[in-house]
Amino acid sequence: MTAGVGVIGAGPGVGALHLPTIAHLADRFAVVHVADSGSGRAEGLARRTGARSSTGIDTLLADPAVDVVAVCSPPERHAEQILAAVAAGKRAVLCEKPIATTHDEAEAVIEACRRAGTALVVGTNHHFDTAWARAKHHLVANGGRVQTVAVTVALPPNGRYHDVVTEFAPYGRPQGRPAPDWNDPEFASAVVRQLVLGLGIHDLPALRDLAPRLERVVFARPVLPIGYVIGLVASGVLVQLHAVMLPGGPDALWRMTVGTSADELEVDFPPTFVHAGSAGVRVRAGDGRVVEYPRESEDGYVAEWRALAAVLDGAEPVEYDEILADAHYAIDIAEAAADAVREGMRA
Amino acid sequence: MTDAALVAVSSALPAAARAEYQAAVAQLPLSVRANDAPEGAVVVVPGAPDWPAAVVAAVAAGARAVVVADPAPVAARELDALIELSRGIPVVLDRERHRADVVADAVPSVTAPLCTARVTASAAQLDEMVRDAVGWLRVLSGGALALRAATATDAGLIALFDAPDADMPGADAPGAATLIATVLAGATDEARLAALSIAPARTEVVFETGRAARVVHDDGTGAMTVPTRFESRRRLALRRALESLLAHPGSADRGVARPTDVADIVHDARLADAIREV
Repeated sequence: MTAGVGVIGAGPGVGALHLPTIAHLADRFAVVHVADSGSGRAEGLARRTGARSSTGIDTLLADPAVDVVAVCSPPERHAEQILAAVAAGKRAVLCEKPIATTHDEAEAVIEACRRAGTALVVGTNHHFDTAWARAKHHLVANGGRVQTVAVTVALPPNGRYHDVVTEFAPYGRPQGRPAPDWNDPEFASAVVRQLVLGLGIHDLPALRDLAPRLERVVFARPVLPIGYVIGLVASGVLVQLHAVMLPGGPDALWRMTVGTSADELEVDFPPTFVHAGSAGVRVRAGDGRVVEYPRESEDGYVAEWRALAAVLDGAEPVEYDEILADAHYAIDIAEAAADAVREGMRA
Repeated sequence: MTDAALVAVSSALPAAARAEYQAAVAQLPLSVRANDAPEGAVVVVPGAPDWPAAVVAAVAAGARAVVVADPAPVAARELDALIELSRGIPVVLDRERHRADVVADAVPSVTAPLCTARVTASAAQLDEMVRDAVGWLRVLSGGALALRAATATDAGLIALFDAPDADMPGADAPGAATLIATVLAGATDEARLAALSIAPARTEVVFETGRAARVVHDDGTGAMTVPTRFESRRRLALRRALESLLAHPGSADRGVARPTDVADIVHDARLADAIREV
């Protein structure tokens, strides 16, 4: 049975990611409504699937054809919109990460969803990537103690990937933003916090699997033109998070490297937006052997929507506690990193 | 025709290294000939933990240049005596994971805002690997680093350095360099060092036990793997010492340039020491 999807948000993530992904699963989902916040972009996106369009969230949430709400708006609006979807009696919500930007909002969202029985899936595609499941299995089976984790993200502009998965109407192109004022500690720390919750968050659920208890941030600083480096200790594991957004250059590098007492495991994720299959997993053992696992054809974007379908079918439970723990973990890291940036710039 | 230079390979070298240097001498049949005595020769000394003293002794015995085979990690303060000495006498350090030719191959086309280095090694090899990783961050960042923060456990370490200003639009500010090291359990000889420069052009350098160094430059139009350097590092070290002598046969009084190996390892050792002391 096909579930009607109402998409809140009409930015590049919707046009280049969720609409094409939902088309992969046409037997399970159909986009029936798209809403923007006043840009007018929803109409063009809705036209692709014969869906309705509107401005704001009220009309979409009142639409009886909408079973599932996809929250794809800016992060600071996610919690409010999930709560509104729950109040409107919708069956399920797929929310782009993060579900909330504060601890209180995260608690409120999960409590509301749990009480109402609203299914909730967070669109953390890396977490749903089958390669990550394979990597976790290797780590458990191999028995080595996880000692270090490094995540390195180097991103060219997304436009090159948008161009191969969708087409934007001229007014649909994302607008440039003014350059951040990295010399202002408050501004720099706020941007680092935002970057952790918007970019770093792709891998924080996986990191929490390996090192669930944040102990302290050792260092954090911005990296220009836009990015950060963060060093922290969690559950005794030494962690480094690097992210930088560049004006051009090679294809995206998105790599998580896990160092254990016995080996080194490397997970290389494909660029965002593209449907190029799962991540690649390579293991270098302490004796010099290298094992490379085969990639799967399905990517994390399709996998997260399949996860939602499984929840709707009752085949999988909603992991409310895990989702909440992921949210708290990400917010903790974001806030601790922001504090470290601020303190470092004032020193 | 230039007379062949004398090369004296110390009998104190471990047997395998000694044989490799003797082979390297044989691979330079027109340029060098073996000699037992250090006076007037390029002297190869072992890299045992007292190697700074061995360099001083070789110079005192009349060496024209000194090559140190596999210099062990030593505290930076023990290298102070070599700084001035190396201004007068060429001192070449034959570091397994810091060959001068690979360094030249790897220098990025643009100074990046971010460089990272990752080390995986046994506890026995960790100090040397960390020192070498610092060296690669220095090379890829385009200059001297300053330690900003670090922490270590018995299982590894992480460190953040301030690096020279990046030279790309929107990033004209001090760069960042990071180091992460993981300790492998047990007494394995396997070790890996991977260093990455991240800018609109990326450069990656990888050293793995038993494999030639790999250097890849990617500017977005394609990834270029630098051809493998097949010359043995022993021969390279001898050749660098010879070239330094041939180009500048006089003393430091003439203000001649010398290999920067000692200054480089002092920088690397100081930061490696600082990480340990945090």
